[in-house]
Amino acid sequence: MHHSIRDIDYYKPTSIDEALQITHQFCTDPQQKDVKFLAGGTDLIPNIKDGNVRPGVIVEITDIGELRGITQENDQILIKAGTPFDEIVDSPILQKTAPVLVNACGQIGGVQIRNRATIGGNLVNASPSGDSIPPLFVLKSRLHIASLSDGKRVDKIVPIEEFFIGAGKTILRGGELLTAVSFPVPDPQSKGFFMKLGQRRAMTISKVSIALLAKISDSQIDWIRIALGAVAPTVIRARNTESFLSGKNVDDSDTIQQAMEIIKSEVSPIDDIRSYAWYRREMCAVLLKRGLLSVKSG
Amino acid sequence: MKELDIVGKSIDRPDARAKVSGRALYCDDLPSVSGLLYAGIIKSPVPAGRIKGIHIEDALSVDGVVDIVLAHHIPGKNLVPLIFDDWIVLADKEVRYAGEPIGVVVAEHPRALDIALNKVKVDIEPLPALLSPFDAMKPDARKINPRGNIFNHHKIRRGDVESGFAEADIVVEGEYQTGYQEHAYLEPLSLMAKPTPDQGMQVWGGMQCPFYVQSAVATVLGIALNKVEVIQTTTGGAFGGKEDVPSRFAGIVALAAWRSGRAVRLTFSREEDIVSTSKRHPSFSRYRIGARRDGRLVACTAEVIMDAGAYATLSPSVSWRATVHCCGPYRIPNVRVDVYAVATNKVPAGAFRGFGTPQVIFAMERVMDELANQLKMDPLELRRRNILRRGDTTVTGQRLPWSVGLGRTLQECAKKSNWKKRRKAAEQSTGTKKRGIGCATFLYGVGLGAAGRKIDRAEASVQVEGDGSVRFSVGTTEMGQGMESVLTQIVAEALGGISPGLVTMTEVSTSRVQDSGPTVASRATYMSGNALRIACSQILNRMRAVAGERLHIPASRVVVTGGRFKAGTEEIDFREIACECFERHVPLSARALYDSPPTSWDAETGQGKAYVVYSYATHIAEVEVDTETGIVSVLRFWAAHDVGKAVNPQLVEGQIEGGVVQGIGYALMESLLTANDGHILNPDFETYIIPTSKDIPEIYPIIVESPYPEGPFGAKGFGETPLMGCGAAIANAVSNAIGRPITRLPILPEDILALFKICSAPNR
Repeated sequence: MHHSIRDIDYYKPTSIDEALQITHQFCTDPQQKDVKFLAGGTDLIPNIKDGNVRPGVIVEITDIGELRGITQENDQILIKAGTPFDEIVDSPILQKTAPVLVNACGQIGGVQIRNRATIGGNLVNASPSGDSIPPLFVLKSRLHIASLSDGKRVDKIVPIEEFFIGAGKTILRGGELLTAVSFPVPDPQSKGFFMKLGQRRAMTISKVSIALLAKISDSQIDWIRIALGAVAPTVIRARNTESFLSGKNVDDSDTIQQAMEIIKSEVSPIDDIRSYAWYRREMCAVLLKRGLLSVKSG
Repeated sequence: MKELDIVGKSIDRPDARAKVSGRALYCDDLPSVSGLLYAGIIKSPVPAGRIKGIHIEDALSVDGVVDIVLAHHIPGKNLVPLIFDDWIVLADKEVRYAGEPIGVVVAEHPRALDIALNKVKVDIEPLPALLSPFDAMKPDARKINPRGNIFNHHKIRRGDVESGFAEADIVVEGEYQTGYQEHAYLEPLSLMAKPTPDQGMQVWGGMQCPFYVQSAVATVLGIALNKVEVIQTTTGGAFGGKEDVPSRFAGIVALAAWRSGRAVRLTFSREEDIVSTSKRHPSFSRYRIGARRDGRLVACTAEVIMDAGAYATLSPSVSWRATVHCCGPYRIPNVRVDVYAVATNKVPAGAFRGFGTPQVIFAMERVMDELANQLKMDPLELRRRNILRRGDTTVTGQRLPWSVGLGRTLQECAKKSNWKKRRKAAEQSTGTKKRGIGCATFLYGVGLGAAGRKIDRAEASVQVEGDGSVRFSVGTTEMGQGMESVLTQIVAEALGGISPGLVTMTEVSTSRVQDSGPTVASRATYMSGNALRIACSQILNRMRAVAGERLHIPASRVVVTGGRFKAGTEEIDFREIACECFERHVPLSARALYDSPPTSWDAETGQGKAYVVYSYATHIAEVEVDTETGIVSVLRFWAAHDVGKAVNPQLVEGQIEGGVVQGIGYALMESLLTANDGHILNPDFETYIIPTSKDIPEIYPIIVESPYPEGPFGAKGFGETPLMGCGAAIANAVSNAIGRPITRLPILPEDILALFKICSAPNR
């Protein structure tokens, strides 16, 4: 049954502090109304419509200027949580430093979705198929979280791999706001790769996805980071495959074959409406092979 | 033949500007009527069960709820008149599919609907659901439908198949399956009803067949047809999905309006629309085909089972059309066809562009390709040797005296696609990306044919105003397909080549236009077009007489062209003659009925003149299959269509492109899933996958004109055909690419991979 918009209190703050104060007030309210932040709304609104979430309060954060933008300071890249994907795709900073992220974000939804949907929303929604998440994993991203404690703003930073605790679940608690994601500029000699398989070529949720970042010198893999989407309750790192591959020769077909077997053993996909577990598992290996071929060809 | 002024030109669509600028009013956009109420459907939660009680007290007490209407409130009959008359408006004793309407909540605002619908308690004793037609066909199966579970068994018995196969050098067999297809029109179902002071009812909505809706509303309310006015609002796509379905829901909305005495509107969400409305029939078929070594077909047998859902609705017609089209556009002397439409505890399947033919074309064209493989013959060559040509006889024993452009579509398609070269290149493709190219040749019986004989006629009227502008009326509808443009051009041409800008179509209302029969079966161009042409010629003859007097020559010698009446160098504008006729009290309106030429059908042998004429087409698809991921990319698509005469070539091309897009969805992605409890699992566009612009290759439309002498300016219907061959051509291309036979639509990547791997995909 549809949840009417009339049942929801609505706020539109213009600063992070104001947003935190509003949410804090409801989190301490004995009636404990469920507060949801609204950015692009491309996940939240369908979820409300389908009755999956029934927020008592919506705090729209699209007017908060300090939640939008992409900056580079020394070797640190900072993407504010309210930055929509089209800005990420068009960002000269990211095109130069993190093409793997640009590539992935350019495949999210369609043009209209990318105009509205934000990177913070993709993270907070915590879908295992969120396409911006695997590249952020391999970029060793950290998430910036703000909240109020005793009336004062507190900011904390957590590694992305500690942020997700299950499908649709994060460590965020009531009153906490994701404000930004940051990562160090990867080694300029490293190379990234992203590929997703969906049910069609646009406007599609990943059946399986891979992001890969590796440094290869003279066919030898110095280091490699691999993240997989939609094959476990959260996006995961393929750590066994990574450690198997590091130091190995990427031109060795036996090595690739073995890595393809290892990666299949590290995932726990399910059958659902989009695909089958067996297919997703097989595809992890295929996407890994394509990724390795892509990064070695420089 | 006289040179044409307007027909054959790509004029702008008269309806385009209002639609792209947002001025067009769809039913849900209609300005609010005073006292408007909103309707919400109480749906069955289970696919099969006996209704023990319906508890509405709590729901009635919800603030804003005005009424809850159930089957026993129906003043007329609880029936939607359609073929077998088995379709009820509201379930009373038994529910037969999940989502079946049981009642309707009527409220002052939509918000109250949701709350009240949650409070209606329907007490149902569940019955074991029969979700597969094979279960429903078992002799001891529970009867889903009082008529029995086999709605139809249509047959063709031609020649002697046993001796035919004995004559064959090669015999090939195959079993094929196709899934549901959802219409996915842009505008979900929306209907509004308003009682009139004289105990009548007005109904508005997006629909294909206003006169069907009129009949349903009159039946449900128990009032005369002339008390019901149905007005077709701008319709945002239909594809067959708004042929029969609006009748049932209009009956419900009208019933609600009747009881409350107020206007009531029902607008479906996408999810409600998908669970509540018709789909393309899933099919299961077994084919056997025999040929001589030179490829000449000698025998064909086909058994087809169509999953019809809980009510017969249009299935008798759909399965009949499937029967006629079962063996493709070929000369085959010995044929046995058995097509069954079978009841299941699912939403009734119904009309969908192609009407039962894409399923059998897929099966027939797949088995033809398997035959070509066995014969080591080019598949296009195999078809070239067997296709129907002028003077040939179809498998139903119908001789084709004219307008058989199939050979030309094949030839043009082969040439434009560079078939031989690409076929060779496909054979040589190596690595993990395999190229393939495949074809399909097929026909389509235009109009309702022998099965719809009783209603296959069209009335139309034309009125020339005193200023020379023209208004015409038909009861067929514009639903996005371009009928308004085409009929405007036919009227403009038939009145002597006047500017189409002078011509306007009357809004379709059952009180203001004539019944031209349903807007289905690709029949509007040639049926309504013919009726209009007759009406126009009556008016033009009177105008010609007046012009003759002015030009001082006999009327018969007046030449009318380019919107002018001419005698030698002297000429008078159409508008001037119109004005003169008006002043001289010469009648400037005419009404005409076009009756479809005779058809015939023998139910025991399946022999007869099934349709008045056929449209023909050849499709060629080039694909690339990623053998590691199973993903199929359609690279190019050629579609050559014999349309008789392209009244508006741009619209023909648009129809081809749109149909191919819909066909690519049918072939490669559209998969509607039913859970074990009978519910549709993916009733939205996030999970029911239709193609986007990125999934579509370059499409090459090829127009072939083999005039139909009976049609308006040689035209015959073709709107459905562009979708029909896509599943077959793509499946043949994929089979060619991977060297393994495709037997099921849609072809999902998982299925392709399963063909390569030992592990098999669980049943969808």
